[in-house]
Amino acid sequence: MSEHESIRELLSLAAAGVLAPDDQRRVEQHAAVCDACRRQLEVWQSYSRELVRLPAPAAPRHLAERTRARVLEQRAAVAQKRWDDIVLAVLVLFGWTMTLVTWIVFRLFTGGMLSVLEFGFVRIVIWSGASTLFAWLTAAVAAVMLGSQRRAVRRML
Amino acid sequence: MILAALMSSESALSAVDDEAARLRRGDPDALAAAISRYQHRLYRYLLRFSGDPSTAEDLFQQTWLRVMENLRRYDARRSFDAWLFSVAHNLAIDHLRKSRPDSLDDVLPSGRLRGDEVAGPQPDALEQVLEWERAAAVAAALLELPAIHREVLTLRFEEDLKLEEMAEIAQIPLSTVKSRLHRALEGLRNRLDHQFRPKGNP
Ligand SMILES: [Zn+2]
Repeated sequence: MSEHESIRELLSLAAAGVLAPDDQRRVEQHAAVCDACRRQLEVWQSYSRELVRLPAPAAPRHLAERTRARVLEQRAAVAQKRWDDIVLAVLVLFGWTMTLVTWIVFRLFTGGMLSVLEFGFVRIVIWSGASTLFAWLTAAVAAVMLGSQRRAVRRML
Repeated sequence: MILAALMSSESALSAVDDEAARLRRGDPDALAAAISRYQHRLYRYLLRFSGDPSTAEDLFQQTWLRVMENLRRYDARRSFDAWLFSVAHNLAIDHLRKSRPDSLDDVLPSGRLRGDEVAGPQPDALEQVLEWERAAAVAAALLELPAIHREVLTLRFEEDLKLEEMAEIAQIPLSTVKSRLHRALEGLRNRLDHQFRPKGNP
């Protein structure tokens, strides 16, 4: 490739101002002695100028505010979910502990230490009744806690 | 002099750090300030890239949602600008991949690389047009280019970025940015030549 041809490939990038200093110098030196390349460089420079001067559209007026609101909404939703997860985990743990405790306490009161390991139809029915009661109680507590949290989040927004 | 320059660059750096830290803490004022500081640049970039105002608005909002989600992963040694724009870049690419995959091809959609055919006495297309018409002609021609060509053009000429910064945002090698910018300029000029070539003189 002749110097003329290799320089021609560089003209658009030279006008865009992104060539390494060495290449930029080569282009300028060649353009000083080659009319065709100088002319082309000027054309590319006019394109660069037009691109720099292109009228810039401003962001729509409510875009920033709408975006801020969406980000805050998302953040509240994330915080809400994290809180819900914690409450749920605590309540599940609480529920299981209470069930276990009920079972042991119930057997202790109805037949002494060893009877914890015994099974009997009536006892199982009574025990299931007691655990169901605890499950409902737990669910009610959960509902109240989640409700109060939701109200708190809504106040924040 | 040097000391003053050092001190001012240091305080500029800590200002950016404070910004990221305030955003992380969830300060709503910091969020509003950051969004409004970048709003026109980010919107312009997304508008040029996507070529469509309502898509640009949607991508703008998604960019900030993604930024706030990933703020923990932001490395404070990097430039916040470059990080913000690279998040926007990824979202725009995902969007275009679904809606207009052809717009991501790094080739001239029609025509060839220009040879020497305009090197002769033929006047340049752009100069035949009245000055006030030029901007409209360039804007129209831009819309016909592949999106990734519009992206490098706006990053170079409107954002005034260096090739290295453009490579960081588009997450491509430096050599690719360079050849893409070259092809984008060729494509733009081809289109304007075609548009303004006198009728009956193909
Ligand atoms: Zn030459």
